Order: sequence, then C-alpha cells, then structure tokens
Amino acid sequence: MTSQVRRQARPSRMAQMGGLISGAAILTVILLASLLASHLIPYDPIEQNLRDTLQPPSLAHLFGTDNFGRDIFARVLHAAKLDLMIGFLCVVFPWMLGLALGGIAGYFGGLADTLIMRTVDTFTAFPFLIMVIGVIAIMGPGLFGMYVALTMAGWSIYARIVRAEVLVIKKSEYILAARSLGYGHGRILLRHVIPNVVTPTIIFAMTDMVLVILSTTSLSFLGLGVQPPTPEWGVMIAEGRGFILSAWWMVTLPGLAVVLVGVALSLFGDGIARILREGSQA
Amino acid sequence: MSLLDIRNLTTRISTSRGVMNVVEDVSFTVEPGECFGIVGESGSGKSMTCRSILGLLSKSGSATGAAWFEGQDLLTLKSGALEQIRGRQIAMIVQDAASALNPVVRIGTQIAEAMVQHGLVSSKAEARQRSLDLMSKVGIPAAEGRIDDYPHQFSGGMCQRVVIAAALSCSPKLIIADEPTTALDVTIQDQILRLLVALQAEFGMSLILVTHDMGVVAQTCQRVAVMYGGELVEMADTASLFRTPRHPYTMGLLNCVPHLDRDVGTARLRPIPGAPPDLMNPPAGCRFHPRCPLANDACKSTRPPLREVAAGHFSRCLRQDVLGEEIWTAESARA
Repeated sequence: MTSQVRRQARPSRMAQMGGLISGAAILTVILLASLLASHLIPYDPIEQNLRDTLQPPSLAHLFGTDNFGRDIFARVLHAAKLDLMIGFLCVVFPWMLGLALGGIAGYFGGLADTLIMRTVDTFTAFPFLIMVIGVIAIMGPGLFGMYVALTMAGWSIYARIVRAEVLVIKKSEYILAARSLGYGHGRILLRHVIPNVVTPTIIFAMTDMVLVILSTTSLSFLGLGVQPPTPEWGVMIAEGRGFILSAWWMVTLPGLAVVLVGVALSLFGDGIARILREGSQA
Repeated sequence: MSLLDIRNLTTRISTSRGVMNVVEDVSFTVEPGECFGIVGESGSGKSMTCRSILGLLSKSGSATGAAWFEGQDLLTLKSGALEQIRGRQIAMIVQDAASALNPVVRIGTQIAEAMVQHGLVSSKAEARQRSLDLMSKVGIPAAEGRIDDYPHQFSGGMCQRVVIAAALSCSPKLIIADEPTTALDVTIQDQILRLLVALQAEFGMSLILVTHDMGVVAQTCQRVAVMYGGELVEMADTASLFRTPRHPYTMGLLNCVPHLDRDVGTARLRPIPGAPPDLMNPPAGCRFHPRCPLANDACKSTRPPLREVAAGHFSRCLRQDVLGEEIWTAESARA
C-alpha cells in the first residue's frame, strides 16, 4: 500500500525525462518547420488567391485555405515563428527587468527597496490582462505595443522572486567573505549575488512562456496585438470566426497549433524546471 | 608602533527588542608580525569585534571608539576608502570555509578576484598564474588540475585553504581569522593552524585569531585576550595567561580543557555553571558575577575596570586578592 502511494507521489525518472524529451521534440519540429516554412510549402502566407477560397483540407492544401484563398498550413507555420519569438522575447524582457530591479531592491534595501517594491505592488494590483490591454490602449495596437505591455505586466513577479532570493543570499558567508576582501557593491551584486538567484527565475520563466504565448494569441484575436494580414494564430482564429459553420478548418487548425505549442512548452518547461530544482538542491 | 590599535570599541546592534551592546569598551593592540588570540564562548562578541574593525556590520549595527590602522581610524573611514583597505591591507577569513566560497564561481577565479579588484594583476594569464602559485603555497596538491573546479568539488579543509589563498592574495599586513578551524575535524584543524602560522611568518603579517578553543590559542598565539559578554575580561601574553590566569572566567575556561595526564578515566570536566549573560539586560556590576564563585557585594554593584595586575597582564576582576588555584572546585560548580 505504502509503496503504491510512494510510486504515485514520485513519478519514475523515466517518466520525468519522457515529458522533457517529448516536449523538446515537438518544439524542435515546430521550430524547424516554421524556420523552413518558405522552403517546405510553395504557398505565400499573405498573397491572396481568390480562385481557391475556402478549400477544405486536401493533399494540395493540408489545412485547407481561408476566405482569401491563402494556404492555412503555410500561415500556421509562418505564425509559429512570430508567436514563438514573441513568447521568448516577452519572457526575456520582463526577466531582465525583474532581475535588475529585484536585485537592486533586495541587495541595497532601504529606500531603493521601498520604491521598487511598492511599484511592484502597484503593478501586481492590476489583473494581468487588464494591465496589458490598458498599456496597449495607450501605446496603440501592434507588435511594439504588445512587447511593451507584456514586459510591463510581467516583470513584477520576477522582481519579487529575485528580491526574496537576494535577501537570503545577501546574508550568506560568501557575501561577507567577498565584502571582507574589499569588493565593491557592483561586483558583488553582478558576480556573486545574481548568478546565485537565476535558477528559480528560469524555473518560473518556463511556465511564464506558455502564459505569454496564450496572451499573445488572445490579444491578437481581440485585434490588439499582431495586425492582419500578418499570419498569427490569434489573428487567424479571429478571421475564421465568421466561417466556423461553413469552414471549420479556418478556426480549428490554428487553434490546435496553439494547444500543441502550449502542451509542448509545458512538458519542456516542467522537465527543465525539475532538473534545475534538483540541481540546486544537490 | 602598533599595527592595529583598538580603543574603547563599543558596538551596538538595534533589534526589535531594543539596543544591545554586543561589544563594550574593548581596547587592544596588535603588533607587526604578532599573532593575537581572542577567545570566548559563543555570543561573547569576538566576531562582532572583528566585523566592527572592518566595517562589516549590518545596517542595524554601529560602532564607536577608534580603530587606528596605519594612521587612519577605520571606524571613521568612508565606505569607499574602507574597501581599499579590506582585502588589500586587512583580510578576513570567515568561519565556515565551505560556505565562504561562492558555489557558482570557479576556485581560480575566486582566488584571483581580490587581486583584480585591487588592481594588482593586469591580465587574465597573470591572474591565473598568481592563483596557481597561491594554491601551491597553501598546499593544494595538483593545483593546475583543480584551478577550474567549483567549491563543491573541494573538501572542507581544501575549501579553507582556498579561502586562505584568497585572503593572502594581496599580501595584506593583517589577517583576521574568525574561527578558521571550527568547521573542520581535528586533524585538518591542526594542519590549517600550522599553515596559517607558517604563512604568517613567511609573509611577515600579523594575525588575529578568533577562537573558542584554548588549545588553539596555546599552540599559535603570542598574546591573548579573553572576552565575556561583550567585554574584554583578561589580556596577557599566552604563557602567563595559561600559567597564572587572573580572572575567574579564564580559570573556568582552562578548567574546561581536558588534560590527558590527570583527567582520563578519573575526573569529570568541570564546566562553568550558568549561562552567558543576556546582552539586552546585562547584569549590573561585573558581568560575570552571577556565575562567579568569588562574587561579593562589590562585584554585584561595581563595574570593574580593566586593570594591569602584572606587567602586560590585564584583568577585569575586583577580587585579585583571593584569586587562587582552586576556585573552581566541585562544590562551587554545584553551588
């Protein structure tokens, strides 16, 4: 009985690695396919072909065509490039900002801490999407506005994580040792504190990336992010909405692409997070 | 002239319960080339004394008095000027070597970092070469093969050697070793102490050795200060402190050291009864009086000054007249 319980609580090493490997495999395939999209598929993702509108999936058009006669498979693959890039950058920017500000707040404390952390409180007081939509309303819809909005909405959590870790590291013997050897604060913060707090932020970033990609497609669906005719999953779903009864493939297949990337990123992120966590405990 | 001259050092730490004097009115000097020991139990203010000297107190702490080092008062220096002295002129070796090394930085880089910080090396190759030299100097075998290792690949003793190498790297005039051997097992302790003393002689440095181990003091130091409850209670050269201690606390400490010739199998060790004082509410008068078998009414009300009771021998005890061999008898220990 107990052994059964234990087995449930702790999945085997193989099962853990399985998630990581399958997630990485799916991501690699999607990434390669999207990078090579213009070589793999003879259709342009943007150019209209009004003789071939609303074709159902076939060998010629794997995912069918949309109301402008564009090949949906081509558009889905080209969209993958954009969505993954946004997903990556909109995690990296808040990560860097959070690392810098959280590091300063935690390390120097006092007034810097108060100013930064009260700003963090203000930012986290707004629900994520409200914040994003609010910033886009000011910046204007489009790719740049979305980068700014997702960075502003995302950095505060990183800053919180980093600050908490820095508060612990700051008290450690090796920081005291570094100070006793006369190192300046800049050197200590950059070379000794930050490298030791990166791991938990990366663990969080892995799950954050899924959220960011979902937000990107949601925003584009609402017309606030990527603008047509640029291929983007959210944009494509929005465009296909009117045809859901006559041409199901226009909405469903880009939707499935979002789901697939989400699942792959979750599997991959969980695997990486687990490895990092075990590494930092050892 | 003394290398380091501490005068009336008082360190206060403010906590949520109030202000605490963790170091009170401590004065001593360290001569060039000397090994000076500071002993006392946990919480007696030994480490705080060291950290006050180097300006390494946390924000809640503040130190008053003076710490003269080469014509400068370390306690009044700006933090930038102090950073120039830390590592370059005075280096500190902290207690637990394994945690005194940054886990994510390679050994060689950590040894060389102080030299880089203080501008003593001009190239990476030079820094690496100096690290290698230091590693063999502190007795790390096969330095070439280990310089790119991380701290977790090193044993505790080896980590302590790395920490010593980093402290030595800028050839400081004074090294403050804060319980350098506490986290190590006995055989390694002995090696590290011998290494420290040998290096001190070779480099002509002064050494402040903080410890709670009387044996370590006897083995290495020329002069010793004993601290209790944040105060310096006795200070003398090592030989006379061990031969004729002039403070009941020192006598008690010496009683706690097992003697192979007389104690084995027969006598039990005699601990000092009671507990160290609560520094938030230190006892009036002599801080040691609640635990002292000689305490009388004067001890309870008068705070004894640190007086020279013999040449170069200072004690903070009022009852010099009755201090005798056997004050820590079995009866007094039970009382």
